[in-house]
Amino acid sequence: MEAEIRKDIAWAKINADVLRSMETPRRTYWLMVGGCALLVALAFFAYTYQYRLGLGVAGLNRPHMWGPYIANFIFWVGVSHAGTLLSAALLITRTEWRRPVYRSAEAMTSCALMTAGLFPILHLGRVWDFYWTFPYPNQRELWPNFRSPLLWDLTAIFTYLNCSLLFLYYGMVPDLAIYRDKAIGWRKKLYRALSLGWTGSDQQWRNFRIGYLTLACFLLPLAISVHSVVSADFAMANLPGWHVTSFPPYFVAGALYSGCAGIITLFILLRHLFRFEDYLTLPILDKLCWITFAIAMVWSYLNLIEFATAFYGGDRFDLEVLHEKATGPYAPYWWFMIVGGIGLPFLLLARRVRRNLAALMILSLVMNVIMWIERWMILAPTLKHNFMPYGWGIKWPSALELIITFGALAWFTLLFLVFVKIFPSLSMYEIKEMLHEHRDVSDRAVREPPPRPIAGAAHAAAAP
Amino acid sequence: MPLEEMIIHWKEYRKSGQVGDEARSYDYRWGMSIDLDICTGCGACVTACYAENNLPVVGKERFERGLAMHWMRIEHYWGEGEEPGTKRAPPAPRFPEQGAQHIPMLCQQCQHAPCEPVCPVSAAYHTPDGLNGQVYNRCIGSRYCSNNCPYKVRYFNFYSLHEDLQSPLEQQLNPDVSVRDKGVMEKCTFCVQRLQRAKNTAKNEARLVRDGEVKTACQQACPTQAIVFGNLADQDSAVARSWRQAKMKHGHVEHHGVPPKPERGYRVFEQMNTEPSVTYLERVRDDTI
Amino acid sequence: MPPPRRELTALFTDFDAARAAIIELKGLDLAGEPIEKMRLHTPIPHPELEEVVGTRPVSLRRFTLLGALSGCIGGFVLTAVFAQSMFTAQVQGGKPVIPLPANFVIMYELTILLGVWFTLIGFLVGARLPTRVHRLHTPKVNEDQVGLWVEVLEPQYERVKALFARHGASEVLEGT
Repeated sequence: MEAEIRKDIAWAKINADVLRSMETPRRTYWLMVGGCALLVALAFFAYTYQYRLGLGVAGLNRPHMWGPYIANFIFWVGVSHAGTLLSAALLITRTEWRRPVYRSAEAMTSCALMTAGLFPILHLGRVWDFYWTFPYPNQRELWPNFRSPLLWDLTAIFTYLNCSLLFLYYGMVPDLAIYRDKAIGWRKKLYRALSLGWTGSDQQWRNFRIGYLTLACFLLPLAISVHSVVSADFAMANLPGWHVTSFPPYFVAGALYSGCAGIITLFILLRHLFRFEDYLTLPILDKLCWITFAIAMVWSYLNLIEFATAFYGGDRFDLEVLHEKATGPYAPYWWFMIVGGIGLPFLLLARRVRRNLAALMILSLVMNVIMWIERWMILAPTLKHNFMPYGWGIKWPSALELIITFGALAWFTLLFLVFVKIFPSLSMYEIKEMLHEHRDVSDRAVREPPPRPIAGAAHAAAAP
Repeated sequence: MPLEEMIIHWKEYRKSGQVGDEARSYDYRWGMSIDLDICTGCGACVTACYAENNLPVVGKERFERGLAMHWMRIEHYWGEGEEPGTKRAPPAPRFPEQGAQHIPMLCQQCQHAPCEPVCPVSAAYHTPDGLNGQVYNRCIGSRYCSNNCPYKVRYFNFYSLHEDLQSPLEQQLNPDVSVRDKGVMEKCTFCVQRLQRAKNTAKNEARLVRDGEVKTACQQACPTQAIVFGNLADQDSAVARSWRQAKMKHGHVEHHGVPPKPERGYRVFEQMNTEPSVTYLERVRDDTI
Repeated sequence: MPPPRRELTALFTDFDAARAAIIELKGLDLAGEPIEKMRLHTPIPHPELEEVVGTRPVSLRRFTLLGALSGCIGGFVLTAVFAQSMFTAQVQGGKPVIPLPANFVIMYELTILLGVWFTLIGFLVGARLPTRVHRLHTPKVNEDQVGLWVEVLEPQYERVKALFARHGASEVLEGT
């Protein structure tokens, strides 16, 4: 079996390579950031139009009270799950190949959650009162309604965002100490504050290791419960097509599916952007593809079982909604989602595809488009064909909703690009641990020339 | 002591809104009975509701988009093959002149309302009178309640439609009822402003509201008196008699495959266990005689 | 007057050499004054070196337990006591005033939230962070060298320095 990374990488070279990613960005980077910022600004102005005029401009109506905004929310929460799976679950199982990848995967989680969290707020009718959903003591003694699945959502997403940011930061502390030692200018001040004076002493490491495993043990059930709670938004409603007990595992499987595809996209992006070929290697990408395939099969099964229960159950309303999905006005999108979502992962079985970066990039992006359509297909046919015939109605995504959807994608990309330039996108100490585990007696540090200090502000503070 | 309060609240409201429960019984339990045999589908009730509750008229284009705000709507149902323009070869209807069945559909004021538990800020709640209340000031517009309503009788203000009222049309507004701005969910309230006024008058006179003293706008406008409204807790009220005659039960009842009964009374989507407060008396069809 | 204390940090390229140095240092007879303050500074955790240096118990998990329990109970208090029944009863038809299934979800999430927060606090307390970086810190211990920091009395200074040289320390940093 191939080694995941070469065993003879000098430890100082790892530091040097990752520090190199902190250099002043080249033009491509600024173009990407500029493009994303432009899209975000456009989406923001589109949103102010909705704020002034009301949700009608988004094309919503009775019965389509929820639309692409909620689809976006579920999509981005879903994308965030795979980062936690990779990081926490593979830590608990002591899987070695997780080590180079998990930092960027966790960053993806946090950025996706910061994108997802926008949508429950901006889809509200009276956005300015959104804070009434928080349980704060007030003079009127009014509290939010914890019976509502939307409140469970709030609790779960808040917990998940909080805990995944803390987990990300916690794991970064030793790496931030490396940065602190080499940085100058504003970066040095930032890293000195964030690294808390870490020096790698034995007591620090021992507490660190135990704390890290404990956090991972918390984060794993959290990740599974968060998307189950998000699925409760639908499963606790009584609508046909929504009131399905298999929604929690179905949503979690869909989340992992789109998240794993997202990790593959970002893996290839980072490998190219920072020339991390030594660390983000093809054998690791291979394993990521296998995991994506496995999750896709779980998702396919849960999808089919949902239809099977409707089919065999004989409930008139459920059957009609299923019929509506397959033959109604949304049918082309639904069939594209089913055929693509179930069929495309089979391309990952071919070794040629798993080793071809361009093919994987396109495949992972298409998979995520399919998963977005899947979320939309959960919403639209059920809302269209609900219990009451005088409550049937159709809605297509409006231009405004699409602008905000792409704006959210740009926001996510912007957050991730900012992250990789300020924080280490590879975990240096974990890669060293990986090499240490598989060391031969003879291999050890080959001295590299000391790396250049990181470019920062115009003035440079004295290096240590 | 807060703990005592907590236990008191728990005991009192454990099964909320029922009559005849040992924990609590209520003076009022508003209910309605609509006789579909007498209903002509004229739409006077719809118009009256618009007038009484400051409902905005949205216009043809917005109606087609699904943005209508009619708290009370007349639904037309044709039998199999009777729908005009259907391609299916219809069995020849025996009594085509009977036309469609009209059902005035309004908020059913469910005792186990599915819209209430899902509101994140408790803007939808249950009153001791048995009404499903909607607090406009508390609503932040998450719209989950409308998704969960099987009858789809909850209407959301997607626009600030009151801004369309040009002077002097705002003079038509009923001062007893607030005008809703965008972002707020609304629905039929059983004309709670009229109920409140009647209750206040009765309280000043140290009595309960008498049967027939308060009428909802739709009941008042109906030319054939198809709509009967009143206090179900009052055994002698017209609506209580109508329910009894139709063998409709109210209270905490589980429906386990109730066999079809010869009486005309039924409630819409009863199998959802929403316990609506509105009974419909089925139209007598000539082909069932 | 007690003899002044001096600090030394030795850097080792080779972990096995570091291990041997520590073992010899611990066994060194220094006229009744054993070296107490000894610390490792390494780029990755080394359990095999740590156990030679000597470990102190880690109390982090107690923080975690405390946090998880308070989250669980706090979740119930927040939902059932504050929101649903203490100040105003939220009356909704069809569902009891204190719906335990709904409250369980909140209790579960808050167990995790507070468990994570308290674990973090436990880590900071146990690792004694945040702290100032000590004088003899060098970036090399974050790259690929094992650092061994000792605090010795003046008389022992030369012996310890010679010991380090014997075990092949690549560099010895001195401080006052």
